Amino acid sequence: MCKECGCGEIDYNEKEIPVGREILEENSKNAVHNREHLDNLGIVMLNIVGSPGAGKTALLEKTIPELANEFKIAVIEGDLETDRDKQRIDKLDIPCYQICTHGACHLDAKMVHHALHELELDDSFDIVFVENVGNLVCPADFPLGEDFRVVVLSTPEGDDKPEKYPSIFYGSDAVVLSKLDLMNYLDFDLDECKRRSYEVNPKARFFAMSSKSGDGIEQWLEWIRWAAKSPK
Amino acid sequence: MHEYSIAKGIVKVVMSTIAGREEKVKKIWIKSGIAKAIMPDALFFSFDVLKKQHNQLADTELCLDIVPISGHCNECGQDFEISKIIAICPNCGSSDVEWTGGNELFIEKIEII
Repeated sequence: MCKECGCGEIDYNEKEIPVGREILEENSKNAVHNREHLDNLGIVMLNIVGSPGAGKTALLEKTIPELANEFKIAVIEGDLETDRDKQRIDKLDIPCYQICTHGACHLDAKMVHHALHELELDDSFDIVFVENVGNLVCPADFPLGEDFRVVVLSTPEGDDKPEKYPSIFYGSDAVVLSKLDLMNYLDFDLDECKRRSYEVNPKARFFAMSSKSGDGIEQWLEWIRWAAKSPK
Repeated sequence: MHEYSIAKGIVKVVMSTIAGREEKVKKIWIKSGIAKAIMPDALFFSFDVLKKQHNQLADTELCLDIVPISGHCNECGQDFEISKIIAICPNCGSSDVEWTGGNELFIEKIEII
């Protein structure tokens, strides 16, 4: 039997070649390139991930005006089709580029590389938010060169999401629980959600807030301020 | 369906590994950490679709080794392996853990004929 996984027989007369290469090495190289490009300009990039409808765009709509006097911000939007999210961000009067993946379920570093050049960023910028394609699984395996990954989870999705979709929470730097204003209408246990998030990622900061009412937004904004000034 | 992108990555890495050779690839051994959340059937399906485009991969078999999350807890001293994604010590719940496996995704070796 195969000595590695028992999947079949090995004929030892045949040739084995050690490889030892990362499968997604091309994405990793592109991510490093993006990171270097942004580091040279002194820009922090945040990769915002979460389910479709979790409130990622609403979070940006609420966050960006609060920070607009302190930081120069740009946004990259990712969706399968349409520029609806870009239209919403354009109302904030900041540079925004829409990526349409036409079917792909996640952004990759190459798409973001193209978008970064389309935005024509210079060193006057401080923060780039990338809103990934709405998906709680696939974006986890495709780093974009971001400094921080933020996963947005909304109360209607249930307090057990971190346990059910652990891979995306596992490597994230922060968890934003959105739509806090709906919590009283739902069987949502905030402490349970925090506990489950802690189990899969004890190092992630946890922010419970409502983009609609603004409740809880201050701690999130403070974290963004810290992130934007973090050593690069 | 990130498995399709991963299957494309496998083809790309293997084709560059055998560049200049004429042998066919019989097997590809892959190590995939649990944290990568790869569904084996979806990966096999995607690879089977893609391999038809390359003569040297036409009969290639994927051997997928799913690697558990492993680590050493600095709090209670326990070494552990777990088959679910958590990032705290399964024994004492501490977050002071040195992680040793479960997040990898690479081609270990190939067999050519």
